[in-house]
Amino acid sequence: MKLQVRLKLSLNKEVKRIKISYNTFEKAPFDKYLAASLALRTRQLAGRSRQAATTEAFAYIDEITGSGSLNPHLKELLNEAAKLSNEELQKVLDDSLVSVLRMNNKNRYTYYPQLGVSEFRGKAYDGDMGASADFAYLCGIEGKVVSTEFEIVSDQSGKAEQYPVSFEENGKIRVGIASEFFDISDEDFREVLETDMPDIKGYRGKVHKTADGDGWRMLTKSAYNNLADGDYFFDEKGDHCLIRNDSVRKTEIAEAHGLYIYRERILPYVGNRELSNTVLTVMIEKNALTRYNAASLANLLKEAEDKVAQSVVNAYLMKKADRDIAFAAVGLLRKGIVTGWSMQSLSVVLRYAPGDSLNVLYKVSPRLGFSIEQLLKIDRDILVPTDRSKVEEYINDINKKKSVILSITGEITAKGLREKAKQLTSNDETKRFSRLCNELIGHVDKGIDEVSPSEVDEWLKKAMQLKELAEKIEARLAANG
Amino acid sequence: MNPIFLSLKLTIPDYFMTDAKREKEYRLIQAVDNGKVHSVKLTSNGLNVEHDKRDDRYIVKLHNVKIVYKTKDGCLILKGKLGCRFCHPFGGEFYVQYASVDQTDFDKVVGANADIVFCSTPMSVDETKSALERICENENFVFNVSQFDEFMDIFSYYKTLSAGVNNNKHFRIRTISKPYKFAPADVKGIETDDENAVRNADGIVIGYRIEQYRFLELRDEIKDQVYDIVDLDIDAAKDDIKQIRRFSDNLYLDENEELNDRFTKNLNSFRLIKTEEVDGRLRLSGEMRYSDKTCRYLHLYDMGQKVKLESIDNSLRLIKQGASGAAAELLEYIIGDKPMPSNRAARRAGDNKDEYAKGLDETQKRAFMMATDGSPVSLIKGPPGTGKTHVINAIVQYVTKELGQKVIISSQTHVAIDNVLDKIMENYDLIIPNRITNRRNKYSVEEIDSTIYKTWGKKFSSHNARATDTRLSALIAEDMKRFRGEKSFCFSEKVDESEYSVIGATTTTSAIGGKKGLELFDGYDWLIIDEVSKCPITEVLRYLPYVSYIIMVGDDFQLAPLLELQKDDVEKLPEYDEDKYEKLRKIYEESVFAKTLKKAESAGRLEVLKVNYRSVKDVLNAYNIFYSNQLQGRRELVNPDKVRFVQGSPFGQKDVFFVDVKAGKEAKYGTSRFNVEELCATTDVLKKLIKDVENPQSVSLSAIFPYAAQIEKFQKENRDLINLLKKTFKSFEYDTVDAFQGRETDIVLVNTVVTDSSQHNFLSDFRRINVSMSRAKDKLFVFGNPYTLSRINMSVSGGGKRRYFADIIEDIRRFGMIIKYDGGNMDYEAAGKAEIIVE
Repeated sequence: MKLQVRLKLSLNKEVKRIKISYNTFEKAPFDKYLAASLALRTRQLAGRSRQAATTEAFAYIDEITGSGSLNPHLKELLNEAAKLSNEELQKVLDDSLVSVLRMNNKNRYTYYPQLGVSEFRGKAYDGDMGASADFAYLCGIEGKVVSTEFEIVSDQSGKAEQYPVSFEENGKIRVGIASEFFDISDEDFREVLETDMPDIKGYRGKVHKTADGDGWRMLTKSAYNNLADGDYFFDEKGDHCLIRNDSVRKTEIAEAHGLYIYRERILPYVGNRELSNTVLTVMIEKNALTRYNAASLANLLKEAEDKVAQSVVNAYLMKKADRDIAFAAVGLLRKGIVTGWSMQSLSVVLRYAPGDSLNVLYKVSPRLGFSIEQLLKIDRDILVPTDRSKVEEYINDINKKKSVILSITGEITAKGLREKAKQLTSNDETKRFSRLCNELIGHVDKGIDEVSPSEVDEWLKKAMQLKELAEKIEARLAANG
Repeated sequence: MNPIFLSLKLTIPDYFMTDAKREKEYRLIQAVDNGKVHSVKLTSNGLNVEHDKRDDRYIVKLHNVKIVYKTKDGCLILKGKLGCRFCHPFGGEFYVQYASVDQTDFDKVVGANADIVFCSTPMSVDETKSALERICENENFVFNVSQFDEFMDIFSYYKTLSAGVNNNKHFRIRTISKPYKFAPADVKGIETDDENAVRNADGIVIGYRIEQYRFLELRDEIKDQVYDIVDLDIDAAKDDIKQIRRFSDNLYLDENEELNDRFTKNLNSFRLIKTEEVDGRLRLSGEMRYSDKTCRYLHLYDMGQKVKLESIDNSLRLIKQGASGAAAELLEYIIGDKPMPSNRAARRAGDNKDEYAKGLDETQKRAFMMATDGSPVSLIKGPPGTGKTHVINAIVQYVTKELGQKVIISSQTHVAIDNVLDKIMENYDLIIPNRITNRRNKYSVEEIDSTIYKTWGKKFSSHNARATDTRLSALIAEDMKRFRGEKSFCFSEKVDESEYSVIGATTTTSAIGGKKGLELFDGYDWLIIDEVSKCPITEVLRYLPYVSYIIMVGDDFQLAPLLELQKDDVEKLPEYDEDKYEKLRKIYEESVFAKTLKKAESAGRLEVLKVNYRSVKDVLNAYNIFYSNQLQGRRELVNPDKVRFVQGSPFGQKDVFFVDVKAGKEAKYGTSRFNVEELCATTDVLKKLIKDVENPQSVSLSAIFPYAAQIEKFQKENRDLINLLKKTFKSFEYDTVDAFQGRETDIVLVNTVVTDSSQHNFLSDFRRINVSMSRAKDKLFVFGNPYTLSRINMSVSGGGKRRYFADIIEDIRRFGMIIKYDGGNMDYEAAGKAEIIVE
């Protein structure tokens, strides 16, 4: 069967540049046209003397350009035009076209002598294509070719590079150049093949004895060493599977044509429950859970069976508190997995648990150490009696504080102190008073009923300050009459 | 300190004898190689010390040493290596590498005093070593960089903050439309209809889409103003619009996700014209520099800032090493302790200066003469409309044509540079510049050939008429009539980039990144910076290492530099430090011009242009107050034609108006402000201008607002009026004062907004109001509350406060007209009638 492997070959390779000089007619720019006119007309006026014509033309240029930048430029163009015959100049004036000798040296191609193939602009051509008459055409040159010249820019013989190599069913070996394959003799192939094969005696996976298809590469020492770079396991076929954050990199190793070769495939966890279970089990066994990115691990947990996921969450949270894993636990709790949790992991879950998951967590274990803020968010009817009375006491206390705040602000409003204070000369007291009024009475984004319990204390403190200031303001107003 | 005595063998390399180009230098060297003792000064600004390899306590050679001799006209300078010679004859040696003459006054050269004699039996090696030691210890020998330590520290802090706020980003481009023709709204002479109008998000018409067949029918001069734009559909959210707009000067297209900024000159910049949301995607319309490149990503890239920092850093490094030629001295003159030298009396033998000064007025002529007298630093203060560009043009013509030297023209704005380049390109003997920019520009290498055709080629018949041989010119004229070739020149392909005698580049350009970019400036001796009052010192430093002469043109009474790193943006950075930031702001916002002004004045290196050619008498009087009424108006003599109004229009009676807006009240919008009544007054005056101006198609009009909130409100609420104004007038522009510096229009409306003088406001800085008012050529309308304005104390240049507005309003009352605006009614009061209450 046909096998395609990427191999390192030190094929002989010559990078050649070709210089093509060619003539083309182009629309004359204004200055060249003017130079042609000037060359022809001065020549006609000066009779046979070219010298006199040039002198006259230069004098003309001096007059129309002064000592500006166009002076040397037009003189240079005139000198070029002076080389043309009268007929050629007349033709420029008649057609507004100038003959331009252009040189193209931008084209390079690579020649592989052992394969007898050239590569140019991503295509392969038989033989040394620079010798071909069609080359100028292939370079897109339109015009009459005057000369061509080759130059070897670099000889890269002996430099090893990766090439696709096809081992055919008929025993032929072919090398890929620009998407096409070319025969190479067995002898040449062995000569240019660069090997760096590792000793794989200690490999615990399976070395397949047959291989076909493409995507194969030669197993080098570094590729082999790379297999051990992380946590891995061997699947049911004996292939190496490296555990990564979001996927497994599966490596098949085979022996073919006297070479060790390998092929990699990436197997994502998404949608692959069996693989996810295996990976998580391996992680637990290897005690490797905390080595992985927690966010990725949380995603992997979603793919696995719930029981496997729960054991991973328990194991993880016993070692390390993490928000993503705690959220994964909340997900499992919501799915109805309420038994089998360790108290320690649940305490971590509680630390990160969002408000709407507190009910389910409380049901699993009310003794996790819920704070008063958390208890406030839990349905009263599922609270145990001690927690329930704790919550009620707290709410009563808050309500009392709120009524104190309301009575202070209400009194100030009723007395119109805010307005009256504006009559007083501004000082630190009036400024603080005005600021606190603004915060507690006017321009507030939320009313007292929307204030969270934890903020009530802060409001009360401010209300007390306000009260004190209000008394002072009243005293000052009274003093002012 | 006694002079250091040096008896040395003079070694002259063969190339002085063999290379004909160096023959002149050889003769200079021979003049001092005469066995006589000369009193000289030794100096270096690129010192490189070579120590004894066997015992590094001893110096054996000093590289880049200059020996300065006094001559009749100035100095003779030999540059080379001074040190020990370890072959026969052993001892002291000077290996000369360059020789030149300079007009600098020998007494003003700072250097170590020495007595020197070149002979065949030099002083011994040991004596030489000890002399080298003494030279190095002499405080006058090398450039003292420590005086700039504070500046260097602050600049390094600027870099740190700048790196912290740099937020490059890129977006994937989904589709790019085929290029289509776009005519900006102010291009007149095109038949336009609403269907082809291109509008901004507020519905203001910003231009028109022109079909190809219609484009071909346009006149050439209109075609030149039409350009190709494309629509890019990019993967970006609506929220990104703000950021994209903020980066509108730094948008680049590239095929890669990572922008390769090593070759900054090849960056494909994108000039944003408009943004809109189409089917959940953002569509950006704008101009691409190249159209044949594959563009997959739009990059928001603070390239200008990055390249600017790199090149300033490079300049500082060169200066610090003392390896930047004249720059070290220039820096000392500009921000250091050294007094500026002046060669005011000097005049080159046989020069033809008067020829170049033709057409300049007296003050312009004095400025030209000073700037070209060979002194390293010159300052020209050019108040509004006093012809700065004319003077710069004369200097460039003289330097390039008479001295054969090359000039860099720089400024913070593209407009200022292009104005100068327009000038040097306008005559038959034009100078062709190389405009360095990543933007599309008519003077860039890509477009210069067609620009030469448009400027010089189109006027060929008048150039041809200059020829004295009429037979020849007639024949050529006949030929040229038959020209059907490319409407272009082949100048750029014949000229190497280093051969252009003038380079134009902004002080902030991103097109000169890397070593290659900077090499471009080798051989350019002169640096002219226009509108320099807007430049912070850091930007001037950028080109300093490459030049020997710097001419700064600006006006310290106009806008000063603004530190682009806003406090809000940087104060959250870990590197932020209040004191350092304030120090940075102070150094940065003090323009080089203002800083060096006094120094230049005392050294006789300052000339002030005093003749105003822009504004009519009464308009000039309104802002002349800022210049202590020193400006002389010559506008009416040069151009007596003014905007004409229909008969009976009150606007035709006077040239300057104060619109007293009754019941106007400023309101805050974030940190910005607006004044609704003042906007109503402004729109009513604009509407009346549409009715009353007789020849609107030849009249340019602008409205200048002090606050962004005022512009926003104006734009949102007056869409149809703005579109009508743009259509009716030759041009109508509205913006903040910062966008108007360097520009002028026939009629200017200035909003003041402020009604609460107790708070800090933009009017406290007289420069902003000076720039706003001085944009006007024929008619000036100032809107505001006279009571408040008359109470505002403005800082006076040189210290103190003054209530300028009280005088301005009084002036308008006497010579112009006060218009009382009350709830839509305009009451025109003749001169002298209105009474302004001033405390």
